[in-house]
Amino acid sequence: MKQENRSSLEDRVTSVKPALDGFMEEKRPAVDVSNRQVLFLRPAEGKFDDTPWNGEWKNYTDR
Amino acid sequence: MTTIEKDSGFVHIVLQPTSICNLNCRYCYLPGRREINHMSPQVTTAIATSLENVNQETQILWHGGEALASGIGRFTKLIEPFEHLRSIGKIRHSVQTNGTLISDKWCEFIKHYNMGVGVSIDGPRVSNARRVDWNNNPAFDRTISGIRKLQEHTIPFRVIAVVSEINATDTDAFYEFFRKLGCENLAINVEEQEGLNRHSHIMLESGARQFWKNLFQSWAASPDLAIREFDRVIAWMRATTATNPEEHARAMKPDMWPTISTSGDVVVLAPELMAARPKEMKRFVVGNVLEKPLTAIMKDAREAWYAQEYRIGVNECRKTCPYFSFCGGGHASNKYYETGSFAVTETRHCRNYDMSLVEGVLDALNEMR
Repeated sequence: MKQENRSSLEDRVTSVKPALDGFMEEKRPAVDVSNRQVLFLRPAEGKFDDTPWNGEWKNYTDR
Repeated sequence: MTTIEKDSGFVHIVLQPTSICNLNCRYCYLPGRREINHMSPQVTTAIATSLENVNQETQILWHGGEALASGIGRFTKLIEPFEHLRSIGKIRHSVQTNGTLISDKWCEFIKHYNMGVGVSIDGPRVSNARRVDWNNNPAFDRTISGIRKLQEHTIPFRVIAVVSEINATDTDAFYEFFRKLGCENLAINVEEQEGLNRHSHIMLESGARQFWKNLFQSWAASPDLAIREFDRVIAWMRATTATNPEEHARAMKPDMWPTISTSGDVVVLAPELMAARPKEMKRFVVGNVLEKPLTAIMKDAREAWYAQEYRIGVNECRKTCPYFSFCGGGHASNKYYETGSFAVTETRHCRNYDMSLVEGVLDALNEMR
């Protein structure tokens, strides 16, 4: 896979934002992504929660 | 004086109640599935005692072998030591099962202990050709029968499906199958090279990207079934593009994932490391719960040789990989089984799972613009 740099990936995500927002607006009632409990997450996947993201990857040893 | 652990370093514990499995799925990575090793109640009693000192809810995931192959009597003795903790909300149970052994009695057991249930099934009958028993008979009908039993007892269940080049082609049929199955959540694992499964039907990277794109399109037409991977990627995209990051902030809280074998040995970072050859596996054991409290084992495990190596790899991922904010540094087991080291960055699994997932969804959204 071509390794686009980080800002390029963010740009590409930003470019599909309208499509994503439109999809979410239309389908949102069926797609609740808020803190869904997920069985058997892998170690590095972590878990979404409501804790503010401080911009730093918190390694497991930092916790 | 008892010390209360405010942060144990884990929110999940994987317990292996038995090593035996009644199935012989072609891609299974676990050795010893015909050996009869059962966990003893002494092991679970020791774990429960240690968890008394943990000041947070812990999820206990029972995962074999085939967990239900323990038998109800034996499983009851294993789970009972946790009852006090469950009654005060300190632990919750889940079980991952192939579904073939689910009976009315198991349903009563599951309800009694308020267990979450995950069933392993890879899609329609044709997609399950490699899920067979030791006589090479397909498991599909027995799994469906177990699922129907859960439904008769109004027990909600989730599904984990393994995707390979064999069942990745018809995503409409794949998604429709799970929609009709009645599961409340679908999680997809891309077939991996690990443990015993070192050469298999692993997708090519281009195929993986196409699969995720096609599946997103199949799903987007009627997204009434939650898919773990799409939940993740959408939440990440929304956080990435948020005008006010505080509003859409997310935190990734990695987990040391202690996995405890039938004998009480503890391995961290990935349950799949239990699948290493016996001599190899010993290198990953960070302690035994019959000899030392789990919380103490886990404190020391942060500095285990392979945790240190993994940290090096994750830090390098952070510096070099544009997908880092999505995946958080790759899976320990894939790094090890693919390269022999934890101190590495990109793996084939990264490419087929996290990267292709992001790219496939981007492809699909681009076509929706």
